[in-house]
Amino acid sequence: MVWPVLIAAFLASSVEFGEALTIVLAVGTVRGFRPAMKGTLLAVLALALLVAILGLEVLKYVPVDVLKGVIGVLLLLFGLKWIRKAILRFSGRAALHDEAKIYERERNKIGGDDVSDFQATLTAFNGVLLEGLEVVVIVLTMGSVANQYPSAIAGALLGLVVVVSLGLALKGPLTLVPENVLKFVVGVMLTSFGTFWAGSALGVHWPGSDASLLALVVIYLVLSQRLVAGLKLRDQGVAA
Amino acid sequence: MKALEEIYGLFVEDPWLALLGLVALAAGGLVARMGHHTIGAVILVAVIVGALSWSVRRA
Repeated sequence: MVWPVLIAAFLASSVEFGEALTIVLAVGTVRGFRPAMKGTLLAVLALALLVAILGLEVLKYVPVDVLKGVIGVLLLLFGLKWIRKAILRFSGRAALHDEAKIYERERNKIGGDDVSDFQATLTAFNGVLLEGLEVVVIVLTMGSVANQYPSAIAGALLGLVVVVSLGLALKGPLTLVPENVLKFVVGVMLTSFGTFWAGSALGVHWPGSDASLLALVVIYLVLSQRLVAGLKLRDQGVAA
Repeated sequence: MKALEEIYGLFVEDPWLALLGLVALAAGGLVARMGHHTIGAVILVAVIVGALSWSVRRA
């Protein structure tokens, strides 16, 4: 066992597993863990099949950048839809501007069954497939450079165990967070991941690499809060 | 046709916001292709921020 390779693979794959976990937890908490796990298992199955069929040649046949771009665009559109709904709901904009009927319609669209099982499964599938592919890249790259596949695989497996344990520990506390707040946060997360992945696929450089995902989350959170506050103030002014 | 509409509905509620999101990606990608990779990121985020602000204000 070559420890530097194992540790490097563990750290790098933990970041990717952590990103996949974020999406699965977000989707699972909002819509339920059954569709989220279904998406996760389908993605793991797809990955296992790809690697089993193509072996080490998998990266030659699967265009990771194209996949990242397509999934990124879908997540961005999906996330923007969610954030917009959340901002409108938290600011009470629909209620102040429209009649009660329209408000009810908006509220139902926002808070009701607007997230289908299919959406939840698809989102979890996309996130896990993409991050899983990135872990495959990490294992293949580190394993081939040092010719130490067992160490790289062991490091990635260790990362998976740590991140899954973290996910199981977080699952309970997350159910205590109000659903509306969770939907807001999930919208911010999906938009951040979508921006990051689609941008990366288009050749954009993110300073700090994966760390800029956190910056994107902060930017979108602050923006959303400012928009909610701004809309409330504006509508109060109109009402007065 | 109905299936297409449903798929469209999964990702799009405000068509202008979705369109501006795609414009943001195109603009960021174009600037990145011109060699300004970090500026491309800034433009991408800035256009998305602007689009979202505009979309909720006109709702």
